[in-house]
Amino acid sequence: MRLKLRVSIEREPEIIKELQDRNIEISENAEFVLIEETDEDKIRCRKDNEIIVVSLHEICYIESLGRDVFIHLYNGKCYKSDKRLYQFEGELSSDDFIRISNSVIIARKSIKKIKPSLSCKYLLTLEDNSIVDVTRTYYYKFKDFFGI
Amino acid sequence: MFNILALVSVFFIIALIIWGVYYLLYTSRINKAVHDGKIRTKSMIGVPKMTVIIVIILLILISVSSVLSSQEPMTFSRNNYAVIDTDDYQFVGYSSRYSLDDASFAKVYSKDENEGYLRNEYTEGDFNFIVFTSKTAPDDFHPDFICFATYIGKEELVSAMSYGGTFEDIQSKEMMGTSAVVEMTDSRTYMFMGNYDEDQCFKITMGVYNNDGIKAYEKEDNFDVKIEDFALSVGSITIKR
Repeated sequence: MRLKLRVSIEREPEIIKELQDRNIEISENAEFVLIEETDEDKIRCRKDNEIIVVSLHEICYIESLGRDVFIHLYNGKCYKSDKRLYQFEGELSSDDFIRISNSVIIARKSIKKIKPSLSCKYLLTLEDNSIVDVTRTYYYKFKDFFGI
Repeated sequence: MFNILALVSVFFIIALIIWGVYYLLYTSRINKAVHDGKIRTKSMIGVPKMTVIIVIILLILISVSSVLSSQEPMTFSRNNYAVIDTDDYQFVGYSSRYSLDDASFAKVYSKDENEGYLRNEYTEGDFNFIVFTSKTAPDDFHPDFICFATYIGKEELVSAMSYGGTFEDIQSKEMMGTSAVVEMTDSRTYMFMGNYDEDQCFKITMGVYNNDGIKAYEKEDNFDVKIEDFALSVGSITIKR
């Protein structure tokens, strides 16, 4: 039997050994895929063909560009996700994450600086020094979220 | 009145400073709130809303300032007089409000005595002036002054009289008046009655003319020439409080 693995890097060696002990071959051409179940506070991302499991507390913000969704971490790394932004919005805790525009969800603790503008918007400088906008649609929701 | 442009500039600068201070305070507060993680029950007014509020207040202030600066202080002048022919008590002339013919109400005033008035009598040239000046504060029911101007000279050569009434500012000497030529009547008396402002006096100038004098005046093209220059005799008096 041959399996394709989609597991975290940390657990991959252990899983490969377990499977090989059971005479199960690991191959990228396999028809069946073994996918690791993650904890609620982790999500699966991809970099190239690698599956990366990321903790929610590492996430700075999630950005959608066209059909792709990118997860930006505090350490500056960026991974792709197969999920759509609305799926993240539904799954992530509304106490820790907030959608600030049609294409960005940020973590509550990711804000380094806020600058108000005259046009019902905020300019946010995040911990990784990215600058994102809180758009007019999400302006009041953002204000209520932070109580400002 | 104040310079409206300077005032608007001051308002604008103050509004800008207030907006700037509010912006800095607001920015500081929201950054602190986000980093503290505390949700406050009372939030500050947002910058866009505050901008609109400041602009509205500024526009109101500018409008009020414009209205106040455009209003001239209301002044009401009491200067006016009428000339009455005492033969038939008809108006022969008036400087402002009057537009009536019948002046029979003036019969209440006498040459001898009038209650509430101080009497003085003067003679100048061929004219006698009996002047009454009010002893009480000005009101709308009694004239400030009454003057009976009578020609007491020889009548034979005279074909016409003229009268002139001029208000003169006591300080600036600025004058404003009217004059006219009238017929000599049997009574030879014209009655002046009128009002004047506190800082004004009233000058009456009377003249008598023969035919030659009147014709010469009528031929005159120069409007600066006074009719009294063609008079046989002139008399004048200045009435003041």
